[in-house]
Amino acid sequence: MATKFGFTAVCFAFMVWPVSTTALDRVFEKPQEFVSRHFSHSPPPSSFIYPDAGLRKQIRAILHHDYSKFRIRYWAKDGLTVWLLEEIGKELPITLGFAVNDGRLMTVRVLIFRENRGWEIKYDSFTKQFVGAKLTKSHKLGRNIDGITGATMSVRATVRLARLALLLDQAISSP
Amino acid sequence: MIIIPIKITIVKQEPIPSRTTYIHSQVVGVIALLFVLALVFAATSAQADQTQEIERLAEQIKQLKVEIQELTLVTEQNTKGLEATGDAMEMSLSGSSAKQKTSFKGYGELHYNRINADSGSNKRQIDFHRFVLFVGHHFNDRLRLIFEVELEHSLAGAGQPGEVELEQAYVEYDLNQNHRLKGGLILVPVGLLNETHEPPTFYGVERNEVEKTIIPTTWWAGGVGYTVTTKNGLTIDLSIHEGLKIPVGDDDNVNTDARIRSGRQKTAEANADNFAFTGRIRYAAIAGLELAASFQYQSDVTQAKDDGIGSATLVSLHAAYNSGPFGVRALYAMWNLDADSNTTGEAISAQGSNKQHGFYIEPSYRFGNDKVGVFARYEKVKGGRLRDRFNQLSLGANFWLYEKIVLKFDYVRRNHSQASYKDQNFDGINIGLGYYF
Repeated sequence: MATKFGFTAVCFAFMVWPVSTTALDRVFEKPQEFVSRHFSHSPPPSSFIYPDAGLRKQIRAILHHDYSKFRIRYWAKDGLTVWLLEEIGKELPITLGFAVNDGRLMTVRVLIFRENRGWEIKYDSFTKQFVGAKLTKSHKLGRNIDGITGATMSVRATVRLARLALLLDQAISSP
Repeated sequence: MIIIPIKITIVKQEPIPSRTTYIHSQVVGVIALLFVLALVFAATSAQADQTQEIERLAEQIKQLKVEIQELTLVTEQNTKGLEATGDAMEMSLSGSSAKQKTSFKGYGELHYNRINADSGSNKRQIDFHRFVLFVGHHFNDRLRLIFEVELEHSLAGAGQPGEVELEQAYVEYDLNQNHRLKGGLILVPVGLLNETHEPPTFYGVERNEVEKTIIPTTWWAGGVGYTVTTKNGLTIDLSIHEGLKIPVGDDDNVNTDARIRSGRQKTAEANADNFAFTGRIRYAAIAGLELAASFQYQSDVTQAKDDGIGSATLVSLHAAYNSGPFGVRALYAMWNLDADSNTTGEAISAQGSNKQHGFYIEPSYRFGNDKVGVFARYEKVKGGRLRDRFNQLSLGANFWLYEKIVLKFDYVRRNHSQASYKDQNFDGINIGLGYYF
């Protein structure tokens, strides 16, 4: 009896809930806020980097594919660069924010998560591992990042984008 | 304005000269006056020309200013247009427009088994164990459809070893950022492998035996699920779904094994007299650590009263931890079946099938730029069937040829607990090739 009642109640709730078609990404921080707060709420105008053949090759070596955009927007001021990058974990792009200062990652933040699994990468305990990391000569992160069970693909996507942010920072710092 | 200095010379009056001298002096005076007037006229004329030139230049500057303003406006419009074009191209290239939010994924694994039993029998087999295709369609950012179809053992049909199975088919809806509902054919939230079992994500060619015999992975069921996540790293899953239907035979042919795996109905015209409730709490807020506990209750696990078994409860606990190259996984699961007070129930209790449990522990180490991982796994299983009571040691390695392609080797040794199955103790090697995309 209890089983049938519980099942009926859940089914009813599922049916009557107002199914909205309004977009609702799992937005953990709005991208513009991420950019703004890194420049004391007075961000500089954005710029674009248009990767040339050499840079595209390096990007491909990191991502194992071309970056999804042919130009990459960034904000730069007083040696600080901020990047909003996207990479697919399993199905859909994850939007991450990176702040790079003096060639080292200063902040890594999951801004928008669209996949239905692997969202545990949003926790500070995971993203804090990246702080201070810099790029090695072979374009790897100069430190180990502990993964999350059940979020393997999201973790790998985050590591790839962290390496990409550092590579792009290098590219605009020493063109 | 140009000022031309004019110097007027005042001729000192001399005593009156002679007439000729007087006339001469008058002529000189007139000439001097005319010269001065000419100079004044010339100066005035030059000043007028320069004023006109300045006015002309000022007009040109004014026109240039207007032209610069117009060009600036055009440049801004062009820049905005280029950015909009770039955005549209990127949207098109990345497939992020609504009509392109359908993803197509999959995984598969090929196994080679070379097993030698103590009895002298052996097994030499190559098998494409699983071929799975996954489709996800996102109607919008909060409503999605997921389905997954699997072909097991390569060939399905009457008399063939394989099966075609629908393993997932559900609609999921985000109520808000931390609350989700899903309904359809869902994976039961229990264990380490049931929801994440792409071959490159776990060690060993074959899946561990505890999550095969005690937790019947892959375990799916028709029903609804609700998930809530909290800021402090907890995830709670609550599900109501189709229950198991464990076979117990009949009076003429009693089945006392109470085999859990055989109780999966796979949502294929499944008996729904008794649903099952599953809850899981999971903690993942510390980097590298996952702790989880699952609980399931079903009021009648055979879907029939007084046939040998009544209610059933499952408790499962697991931990996974990674730190640098080191990793360890551990899992414990236990079923408690409520045997009826009748002949069948007593026979099931006598066989010990009413209490089934198992555990495993699996330390691992990765090296070679994370492309190689070695592991050891010890597991102890007490299933319902007598043949499913054993301990097993596995030693092996994964070689990630590519992030999503893995080559696996392992050595396995199994020792049965039941005397009647001692001759089926075995050891052997397994080789596997797995992928996902």
